[in-house]
Amino acid sequence: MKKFLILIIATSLIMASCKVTWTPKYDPAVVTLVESTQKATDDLYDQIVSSSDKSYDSYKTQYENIIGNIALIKQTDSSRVKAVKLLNIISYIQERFIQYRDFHLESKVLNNYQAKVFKEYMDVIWKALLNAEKNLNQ
Amino acid sequence: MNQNILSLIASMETFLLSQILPVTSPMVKLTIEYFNDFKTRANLLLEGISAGELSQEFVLDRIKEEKVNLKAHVLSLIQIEEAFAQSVANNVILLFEAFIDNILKTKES
Repeated sequence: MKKFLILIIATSLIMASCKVTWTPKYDPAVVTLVESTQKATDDLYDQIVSSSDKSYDSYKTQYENIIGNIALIKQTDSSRVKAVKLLNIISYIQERFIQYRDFHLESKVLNNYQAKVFKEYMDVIWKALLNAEKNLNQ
Repeated sequence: MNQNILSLIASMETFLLSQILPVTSPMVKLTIEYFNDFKTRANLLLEGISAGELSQEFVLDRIKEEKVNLKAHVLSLIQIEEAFAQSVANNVILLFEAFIDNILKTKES
C-alpha cells in the first residue's frame, strides 16, 4: 500500500511538472515568409500610391506572387499540428487580399486613398499573424 | 457618415479599454498597438471621404471588415497566451459584432 501511494505521488509530481503545449513550434522559416509577404503587400500599395500608373495590369505579377506566398503559408500551417488559429488568420488574409485584388481588377485603377486603406487593412491582419508566429514556443 | 465614424472611434476606445485592456501583458501592449492602428484606419477613411475619394459603400465595407480585424487580433492573443480564455474572447467578439452591426443599422435607417 505504501509503495502504491509513493507511486501515485511520484506519478502526480511528474505529471504536474510536464507542461503540455497545445501550439505548433516556432518556425523561423515561416516567420521569414510571413514578414517578406507582408512587406511585399506594403510595397505593392506604396508603389500604387507613388506611381502615376495605377492600372491593375501593371501590378498583376506582384498580385500573383503575393497570392502564391499566402497560399504557401496557408499550406504550411495546414500541415502543422494544433495550428487552427494560425490557419484561421491566414485564411482571413487570403480572402481579403483576393477580394482587394478583384476590386482593383474590376475598377481597373485604384486611387491613392483606396490603395492606402487597402494597405492598412491588410497590415492589421498580417500583424496578427506575425505576432502569433513570433510568440510560439521555440 | 463622418459623425458615425467619429462615434465609432470614440465608442471603440471605451470598448477596448473596458473589454480587452484589463488582460495582462503582452496583450496590453499589442492591444494598444491594435487600437492605434484602428485610429489610423478610421482617420484614413475620414480623410478619404472628405477628399471625395472614397465612396460610402467602400467605407461601409471597411467598417464591416473591422469585425474580422478584431477576430484576427483576438485569435493572435489566444495563440500567444492561452490564459486569455476562449469564452472571454468569444464574448468580446460578439460584443464588437453587435456594436458594428448597430452602427451599420443606424446608418441604414
